[in-house]
Amino acid sequence: MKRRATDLVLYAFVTMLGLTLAVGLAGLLLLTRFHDDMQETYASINLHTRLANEMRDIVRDRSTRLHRIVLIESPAERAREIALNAALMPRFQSVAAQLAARLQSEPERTAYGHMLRLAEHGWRMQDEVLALLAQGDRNAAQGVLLNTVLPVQDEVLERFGAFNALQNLHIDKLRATLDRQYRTSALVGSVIALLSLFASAWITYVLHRRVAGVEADIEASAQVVQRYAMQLEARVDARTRDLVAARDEAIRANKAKGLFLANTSHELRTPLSAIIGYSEMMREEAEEARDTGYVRDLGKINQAARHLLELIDAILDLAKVEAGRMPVVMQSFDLPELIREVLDSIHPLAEKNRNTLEVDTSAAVSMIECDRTKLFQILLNLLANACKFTEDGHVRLSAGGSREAGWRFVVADTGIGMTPEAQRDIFQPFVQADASTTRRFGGTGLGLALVREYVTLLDGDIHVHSVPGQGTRFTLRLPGRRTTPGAQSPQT
Amino acid sequence: MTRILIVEDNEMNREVLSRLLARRGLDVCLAENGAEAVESALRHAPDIILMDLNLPVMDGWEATRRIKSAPETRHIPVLCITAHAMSEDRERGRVAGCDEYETKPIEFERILAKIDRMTHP
Repeated sequence: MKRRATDLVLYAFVTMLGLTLAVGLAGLLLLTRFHDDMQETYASINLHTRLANEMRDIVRDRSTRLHRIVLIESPAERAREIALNAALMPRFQSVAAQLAARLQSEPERTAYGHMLRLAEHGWRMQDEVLALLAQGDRNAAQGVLLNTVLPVQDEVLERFGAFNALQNLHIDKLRATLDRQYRTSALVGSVIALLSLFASAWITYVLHRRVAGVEADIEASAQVVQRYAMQLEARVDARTRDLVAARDEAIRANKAKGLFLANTSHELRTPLSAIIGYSEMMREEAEEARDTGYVRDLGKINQAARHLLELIDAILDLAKVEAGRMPVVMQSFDLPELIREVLDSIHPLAEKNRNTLEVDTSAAVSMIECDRTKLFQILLNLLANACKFTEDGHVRLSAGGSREAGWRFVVADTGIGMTPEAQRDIFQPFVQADASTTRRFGGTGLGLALVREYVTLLDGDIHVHSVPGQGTRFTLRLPGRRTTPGAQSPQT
Repeated sequence: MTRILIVEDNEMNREVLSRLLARRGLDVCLAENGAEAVESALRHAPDIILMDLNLPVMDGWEATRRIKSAPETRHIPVLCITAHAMSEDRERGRVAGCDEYETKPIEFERILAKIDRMTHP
């Protein structure tokens, strides 16, 4: 913007300069042409003068020769002189004709006419002298020469002088005109040039002032923007500092929470175990005493306490993971055996909703290297989830893979399924597909959150694919051979 | 009659387990710590030992190791009760000589089935 405005001023100035130069050049050209014209005219006038002088010289020459002719005694010599004298006549006529053709103004022509007539008169007088001489009357010839020819000749010469004076006058007049024209042209040219210069200077000045104004505006705006930017930066910095402090505080608080929860684990579990145990025991005793009211109530206490313990366990496990106090213990173990144990644990839950459990383990799979407890918990939670949300259907666990390619577990059910929205945050703690499912299906809402945490700890990944009303499929992948030094070896 | 040795430091857990198991017709012996357990195993020659691992005086792993290394008691199956499904506990139990594992909270029907399987192979 700034650059462009400055350029504009420059362009304007250059344009004005160009125009001024063009006008000046045009004026100069015109003046030169005018001058050339004048020169031509001047040269032409010079030629007139020269021609007139030549005519005058011829006339004079002839008079001189006539004098000599009159004085020459030898007839032969006289005859030659007469011939030479006669030869001057055509030359005079030729020059006269040239001059006549060039004459332009009326006064010139009049002066020339007088001159020519007088010259012709002189010419005739000379012829008369020659005729008298030819008759042998030398005295008469001399008399005519002295009395007529010479005065006429003087008059002719005088006339030529007058003609030349006229020409000179004309030249002076021309020169004066030329000077005047030249001065006028120069003046007009100078005025135009000056005016152009002033105009361009003025335009440049105006443009420059405007551009300067615009530039000042831009500069001011830039300063304002810069000030705002700096203020903004300072505020961002301050906010960032606050946020960093807040984040650090949150991390500290979260760690403290995790530690607290992990440490209170035992304190919470022991009384709950007692409640579970005693309610179980009393329920059996009530059953024996056939006190059905107590059986039902004690069963509810037992169930509630178990649910609470489950919840506490899940929360504590999550807290441990978050606090970084959940060690990963890698060990080699028999995968089919682990699966049998998982199935033993899940069997009652599958039966509760009248689901059939199917297992599909590829024959080659036997020993696997993993954290046994976590894999157990992952598979148990996935299967529990599947059994919980499936009624009168099938729950299928497939396991396969190898040490080289990694392990793949699929838990698929034919249950109620989930919408894409529900699938998105199914791994968030305390989230089930919707609030009503918790009431209908029970559960802690932490099982899948823990699954995801464990899968992350084991460097694996888990994906869910679900169609509402058709079922859900969880696909779990775990790395085959764990080579990271962070893996802990089993302690003895 | 199957004789079972319950090794459990928590009084309430001990009482609940013993009463429930006695009700099912088992002959119950009790021990509060690992040292008592080793001694009781020798004296009472139980058919099975239910062993909590976190115990005072002598912990469950050490007690198991001793029971499993003594010629008089090494044949007795040991069912370990781990407080929580901690893999380390389990692995340590395996090395010490535990035969089976069960995690708290005790699922009574399941533990009964396990006891039955272990005492009648």
